[in-house]
Parts: sequence; structure tokens; C-alpha cells
Amino acid sequence: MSLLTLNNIEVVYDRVFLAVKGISIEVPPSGLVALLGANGAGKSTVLKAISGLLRAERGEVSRGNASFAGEDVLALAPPERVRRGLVHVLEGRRVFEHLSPAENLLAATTMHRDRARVARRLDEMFTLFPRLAERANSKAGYLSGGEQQMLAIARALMTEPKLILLDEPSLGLAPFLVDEIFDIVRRINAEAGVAVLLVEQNAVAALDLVQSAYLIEQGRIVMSGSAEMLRANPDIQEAYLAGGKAVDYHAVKHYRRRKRWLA
Amino acid sequence: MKRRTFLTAAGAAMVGMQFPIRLASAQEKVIRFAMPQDFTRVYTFVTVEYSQGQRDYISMVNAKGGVNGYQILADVTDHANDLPRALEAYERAKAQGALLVDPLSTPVARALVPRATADKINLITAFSGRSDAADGETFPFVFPMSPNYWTQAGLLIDFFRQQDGDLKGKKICFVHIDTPFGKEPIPVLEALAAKQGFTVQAFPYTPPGNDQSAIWPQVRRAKPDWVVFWGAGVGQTVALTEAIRNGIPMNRVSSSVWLSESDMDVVGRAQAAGVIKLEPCASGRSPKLIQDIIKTVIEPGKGAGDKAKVGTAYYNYGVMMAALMVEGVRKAFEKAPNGPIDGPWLNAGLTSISNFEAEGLIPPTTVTTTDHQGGGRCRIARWDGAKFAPATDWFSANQDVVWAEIKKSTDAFKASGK
Amino acid sequence: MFYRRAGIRHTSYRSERRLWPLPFDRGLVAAVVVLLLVAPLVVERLYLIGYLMPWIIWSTAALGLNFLMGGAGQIHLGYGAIIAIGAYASTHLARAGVPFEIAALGGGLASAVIGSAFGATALRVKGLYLAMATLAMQSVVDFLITHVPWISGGGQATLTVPPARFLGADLRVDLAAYYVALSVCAVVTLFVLNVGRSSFGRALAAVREKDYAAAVIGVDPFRYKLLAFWVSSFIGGVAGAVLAFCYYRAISPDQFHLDLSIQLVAMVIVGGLGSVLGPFFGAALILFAPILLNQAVGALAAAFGLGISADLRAHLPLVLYGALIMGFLLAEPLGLAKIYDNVRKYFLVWPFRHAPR
Repeated sequence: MSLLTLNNIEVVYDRVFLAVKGISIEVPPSGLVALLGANGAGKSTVLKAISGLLRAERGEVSRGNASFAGEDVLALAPPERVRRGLVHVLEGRRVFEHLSPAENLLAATTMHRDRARVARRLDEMFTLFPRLAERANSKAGYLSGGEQQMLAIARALMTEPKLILLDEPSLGLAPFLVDEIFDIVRRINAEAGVAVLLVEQNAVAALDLVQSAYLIEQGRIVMSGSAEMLRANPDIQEAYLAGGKAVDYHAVKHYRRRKRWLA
Repeated sequence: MKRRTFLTAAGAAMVGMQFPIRLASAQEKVIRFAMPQDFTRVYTFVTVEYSQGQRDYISMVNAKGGVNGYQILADVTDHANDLPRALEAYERAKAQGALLVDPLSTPVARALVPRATADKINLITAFSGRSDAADGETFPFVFPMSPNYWTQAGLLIDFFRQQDGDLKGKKICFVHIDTPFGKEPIPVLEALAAKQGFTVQAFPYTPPGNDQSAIWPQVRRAKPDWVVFWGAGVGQTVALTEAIRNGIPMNRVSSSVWLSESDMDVVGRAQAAGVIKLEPCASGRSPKLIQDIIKTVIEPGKGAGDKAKVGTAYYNYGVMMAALMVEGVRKAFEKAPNGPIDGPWLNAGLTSISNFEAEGLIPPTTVTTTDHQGGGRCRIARWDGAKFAPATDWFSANQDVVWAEIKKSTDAFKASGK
Repeated sequence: MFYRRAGIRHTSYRSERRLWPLPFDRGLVAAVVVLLLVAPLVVERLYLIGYLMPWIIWSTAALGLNFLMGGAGQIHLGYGAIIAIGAYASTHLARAGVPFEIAALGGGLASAVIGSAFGATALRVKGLYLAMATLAMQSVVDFLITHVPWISGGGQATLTVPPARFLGADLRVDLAAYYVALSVCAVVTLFVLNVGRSSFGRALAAVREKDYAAAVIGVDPFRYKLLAFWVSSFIGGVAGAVLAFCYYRAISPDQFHLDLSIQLVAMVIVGGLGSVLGPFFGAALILFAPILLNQAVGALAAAFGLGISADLRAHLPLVLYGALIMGFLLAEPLGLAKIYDNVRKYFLVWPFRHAPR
């Protein structure tokens, strides 16, 4: 049985505007799954539907269901979902700027009563992210972009999740930092068995990392399969992996038109 | 869909609320009094008891067969001291054919003066509104029919003179709320000070007056011979509490008509003993009129409110005003038995009230086309720890100074207003 | 189904740029305008004076406040004082013999000058601090009006509005007063509608959304905030003049206290921040819900012979009123205008359930 199952999810913003439709996604326990797609395809909307953050943006799941570890999560409030082990790392980091990194991490432990466990977990995070340990007591707002992204991931991990939703962790980061962060994601997955649902623009890096992926376009899932299979797909190569040769934009358009029939 | 249900219900309720405006005008033999008053905002300290007194009196009149076979209909609503609501209530009253409007609120009364004058509807402004409305020639349709604040100040000063024999060289501290209403008596006090040789020192406090702790030590240091405090609602009880705390002798402390038994409960009945107030009508349950009300209305269980409130100061103010209004209707029937029953008809009645005493409840009151104040009589009462006991008989004083002030004000009104 | 189109489609830029691009909306606006124009001839005087008149005037004032709060994102808790300045300035001008047309503009100008002077000092601060600064403005203006007899009109603190004419029509006649209030409201509404489509409106929106982001694209936030204060205060001042001349006809300081400011803020928020339609809905709800609820409770009490005390009878409508406002805001936090918008959008995309993005 898979850890997270989305079945035919439809999201409507402001009661009128349809954002995504017919989204069905499965994340196996300890799986590494990517959600790929162009800007505005609806990737972030899917993540927000899973973590329950749509309400703040006047959106709602108008159809379909989502189960996490066998439980329907759509009825739960976002903090409840975190307690079930479902945590979301937002796009653009969103660290608490006026708190120090250590305080940021501690802020994410309200559900734990056991202080020793919290301290242990904090130590683990600082070993996982040595850069954060160096700057544990400065203001989080003064950290660099990469450090803030690490802090955001570490903060999510403090909740001891079963599934972590990562929204564009590579946004605005230098390539070597992206590698570093992806390494960490791989380690978290391998060592702690945390499942990861990764939303990424950087398809090359993402497909290297994950076991399987979904391709989302204009609010609909148009393709899914194992990472190897997607890597081998000529259309994907052409559109997202740049295929080693120059991109022919007429062909891209053509591809999209063709792809819609597939969906 | 809870949201949709709520919206539908709210919409349906709004539509359902459009009740026909002419509810009672189809019935014959009804004289309509409109009493939109402030039950919820600023005048809450007086309105409930005042309105209860008015309605109980009118119930008694109706129980005894009304006036000339006409029933009096008192239409009581809440205007919350909010002008758009008050104007709506006034227009509604007008559409329903009310002969008089009693808003019991100074801002509302002031705003209604031009309309009532134009529409020829009698505006009752008891203990509120413009003080210069006593001048019936300038304000033919505005009826205070109660001593205005200038008169009240004049009466207090005369009482002090009666007590001390002479006020020359004496010092009077005037502690007042810092609003037009609070500052109103100052010209009269100053005119009398110049005439009788005493000094007046004014101490304004910021509205609504829940904190006056900075003022009263200054009053104590000024070593006044008499203290007058002037406010309404919460300001009054706070003033009295501070006066007690600063050790000012209670029998030298006085206020206007705005002091009631419930204020004494707040301050402490025993501590406040000795404090002086003005009574425009008798208080308590002993007056014959109140006894009549108890017999015909309260005991059969037809009272308009809490039985315990019957006979309180403000309840009796309500009875007083209702009695004057009904007396006006009676006089109007004497003058023109066949009507037509409208605003000017009642106006003629109200201006014919002469030496009316409401069976001993109120001082002999005469309203004429020139004097809408009704003579400006009051009596002084002292709180004895359990009730307000009259310290003088009905009297009027210093009306020359008061009327000079009224004329000054109406002249300014006539020169600029219109 | 009324709109006869599933979604918004345009075939030319001209058609898209129109004030009301859809024929149905144009028809609706025309119908409302015609209704308002013939209203005095059809409805009873009570409804004209008791309902339509305050609704139009309060809507005008709320439009001015919404321009500042919804348009430029600056909170203002002293708008009652702005209206007071307009009312007093225009009345004093008229008493000095200035015709109403100029006196009303003078009232607006006085409000604009004083309002933006306070705005300039207040604009060094943001958010809650701005709320406090504007609150202070309310107190200062209240104090000055009450304590300067020359302004308030002497010991009785009531200033009677002199007889005035607008383009020859006597404002003491209710019909003329109504049409003057209506035309001022129409002008303000058209102005606010069009500002939203101008570069000025877009600059204000930029300042509202993120003032430093506006600064980096060359929009001077201070200048535009000040302009917003100026324009909004001008509208408030003219609304004050209309209020004094067409409706109150006698003004006293307690008509313009904090209560009025709070009432207007409530209208703007309940109606819908930043919406042009919102102030009209908000003014209607805030002004009339208490009156109607009061009558309903009274009628129910009379009909069922309930012996409820006068106190409860007076306070029950207030409780219901509060519940109503909370209910509306819970149902749709963006206000009544958004509820209308939801319904409109539903019909706009009908028979489909959703619009494509």
C-alpha cells in the first residue's frame, strides 16, 4: 500500500477558477517521487492541496480524495496533518526571520512533549546541516539563500515526518548548492526512510534523484512512470532535458498539442 | 452548504422585515406620540426608567378611557443616539401621523429642530436639546417644558444664597464635563457671580468622565464654599465618588436634575448622604399620581417594566413629561373639540397648559406661546441616605438672568440661522 | 444564463477596455440609475428621506474612505473628522454668502488640505501605528470644533445650515436635495471606477501591495500615499458638505465623533475593501440593519404579545445586528461585494462550473 494516495483531485480557486483537475498521485513508503512541469502548471497547488494550505489563498479541493497512511486527510486542518507525519517545505523558504536557526528548529516541535528527544533531534539536524550549526545563533533573516533553504528543510524534519513535500528547493541557488541540497534529500530518504514528494523545475537534477515522476501540464497529469522511463522519453528529452541539442520551439508547441490527446 | 443557507436566510429575513409603515393609522380615535429614544448608547442611564414612567402613565390614561374617547398610542423605539436612525424614526413618525416626538437626546433634538419646525410637529426636549428653546416665539414647535440648564444653575445659586444669607466673597467650584452641555451653565454662573459678588472657578473633565482623579484634589485645594458638578451618566457617579474621597463636605456638594437613586447605589448610599440635587418633580411613590399608576397599571400587571423602578427619580420624570403631554391633548380638545387633530392642534393645547400640577407631582406649570419652559420651577432635595428629601418648596429664581441668556442665544440664532 | 456567455471573451481591445464590458452589466447599471432617478416620484417620503438619502450620502463617504483603505491600503480611523471639516467649512462659507456650489468644493478643499497635512505626518508610520495617528487626528479635530465657539456656533454648539441653492434648485426642498446628493454620488462613483484603470490607480495599487516594490519601479510611495490622502479627504469633505446641506441641515460636533469614523470603516470592511460596489452594500447593511431588525423585533413582540422588557427589546436587535455582521464576514471575508461577485461569476461561466485559467 502506498503512503500517500491522491485520487482524482480537483482544486478551484475563488470558487470559479479551476487550477488542477483529475490529479491522481501515489507515493510509496520511503519513496522518492518528483512532480515535474512548467511554471503555472499547478504543481504547487497540488502540494498545497496535500498539506491543506489552500484556504489562505481562497482555494478548495472541490472533488476527489486524498489518503495518507490509510487516513483521509482532506478533512484535517494543516497542523493536524503535520502531526500525522505530513510536512510541507514551502517554496521560497519562509523561515522565521527574526528567530535564530536554533529557535526556528525548536519552533517546529510543539507536538513533542519529550525534551530529551527534541534536543537529540536538534543535534541530528546540526550534524546533517553543519552550516546551520555554525550560524545557530545569528538571525535567520541574515542567512544566505542556500542556508535558509537548509533551515527550511531541517525545520520540516524536526516534526519527524513520514512524508516531506519539497517545493522547488533549488529555487535561486547556485548549482553546487543544489547538488548539496539534493544530496541531503537523498540521505534523508535513505537513512531515515522519509518519503519525499519533490516539485522541481530542474528536471535533470530531479530525474537523477527520484525513482518515479509525474509530469503535470495545464492542471492535468499528462505522463507518469519510472525515472528511467521518463528520461528515455524523447518528448521529455526535447522539452525538459534539452536533449543535448538546441530546442526547436515549434516542436515544443507541437508536442504540447499532441500531448493533450494523451491525457 | 452552510454558507449558502446563511446567506439565503439573511436575505429572506431582510425582505421579510419590510413591515407596512401604517400599522395603526387606520384605527380611529388614536392620538400617536412618537418616542424614539436612546436605549442602547449614551442616554442609557435615564431612558429605561424615563420611558417606563411615560408608558405607565399613558397606560393609566388609556385604562381610564383615554382623552375625550381617544386612546394615546406611545410608539417607543430605539434610535441609539444615531442621527440617521433618529431621522428615519422621525420621518416614520411623521408618516404615521404622530403629533409629537420625544427623542430624549440632545444631539437628536438639535438636529430635529429645523425639521420639526418646518413640518409643524411638536418636539419635546425635556432636560435636553437647546436651552434657548424655552423661547416659544423663536421655536414655536419645540417644548422643553422642564427647567433648562440655565434655570437649574440659577436655582442652585439661589439656594446657596438662601443658605448662606449672602454670597459676597464666596467661592463656587463648577466641575463639568468638557462638552457643550457641560459648559452651558457657565455664562449664567458668571452673570450671577458679577451680580452677587461671588467667584466661580470651572474645572472641566474629559468626556465621558470615568477618570476625574486629577481634578478633584485641585477642587479641594481651592477650598470652595459650594461645589456644583455637572455631567450625566457615569461622570456623575465618578464625580461624587471623587468628592467623597477628597473629603469635600457632602452638604456643600450639588448637581443638576441628573442624579438618581441608582447613582447613590453606585457611590454608596450612606457616604453620599447630604448631597444636593434639583427636583423638577416629586420623587418616590407617595405622590397621588404614582399611587394611581400603581393601582390601575402596576398591580394588574400591566406595567411597562421592572416594578422596583416605579417611583425612582427618572421614572417620575417620565411620568411628569407624559402628564404634561396628555394635559396638552386635554387642553387641545377644550380649545378645538372637533380637530383637525394634527401638530398645530396639539401645539395650541400645549401652549394653553396653565397652573398644571399633576395632582401634586410637579410644580405649578404654565406653558405659553412665549414661555415653553413652563415657569422654571424646581425644588432642592437632599439625599438623606435612603431617599431624596425635599429641602425647599417649589420655587423659581434668577429668571431675569436666564431669560437674558435665552434672548441672547435666540438673537444669535435668528441673525444667522433661519 | 443572464450574461449569455460562458466566460469573458473579447474580440477587440476597445470592447475589453470599456467600463462595463458586458452588456448585461451595462443594463444592470442603467436600470439602477433609472430606479434611483425615478425613486422620489414613486416611493413615499419616508423612504426617500429615511433610507435613500442617508444611503447615498454614506455610500459617497464610504467610497472616499475605501479609496484610501482599499485603494492605497492606508487605514484611516479619523474619517469622521474629515467629514466634519467638510461640513463645517462649507457651512461657514455658505453663511458668509458663498454659493453652495463653491462652498461644497471649498469644504472638500479644506478637508483635503487638513486631511493630507495629518496624512503627511501620519505617513511616517504604517499599519497599526497609522491607525493610532489617524485616531489622534479625530480627537484633535473633535476637540477644536467643540472648544472653538467660532467654529461650533456658540454655546448651543449647533450650526444651522443657511438656505442654499444648487444651480437654482432650493436645497431645502427634499427633491432637490436628493438629486444633488445623487449626482455627487454618481460623480464620485465614476471617478473611483475610472481611477482603477488609470496609471494613478495602478500606482496606488502598487503602493498598497508592497510599497518598497513600488519604489523600485519608480513609484514614489510617499507621494502617492499623500495623493491618496488628498483625494480621499476631498471626497470626504464634499460628502460632508452634502451631508450638512442636503440631510442634516443643522450640524453639531457630536454628529461627527469617532462613532461615525468606526461606522464608515465598518461599511468599507463589511462591504468589501477595494471594491467600488462594496461601500454601497456596506452602507446599506450598516445603516439599515439596525433599523429593520429593531422594527422586526418590535413587530414580532407585538404580534406574539411577548412581554419582553424594554431593555431587552432595545438590545436584542443589536445582538442580532452583531451576529449578522459576523455571519456575513464568516461567509465571505472579502465582504458583501465579493458575495455579489461570486454569484455574478457563477452566472458568467454558466453552464460550466468553472472558468478556465
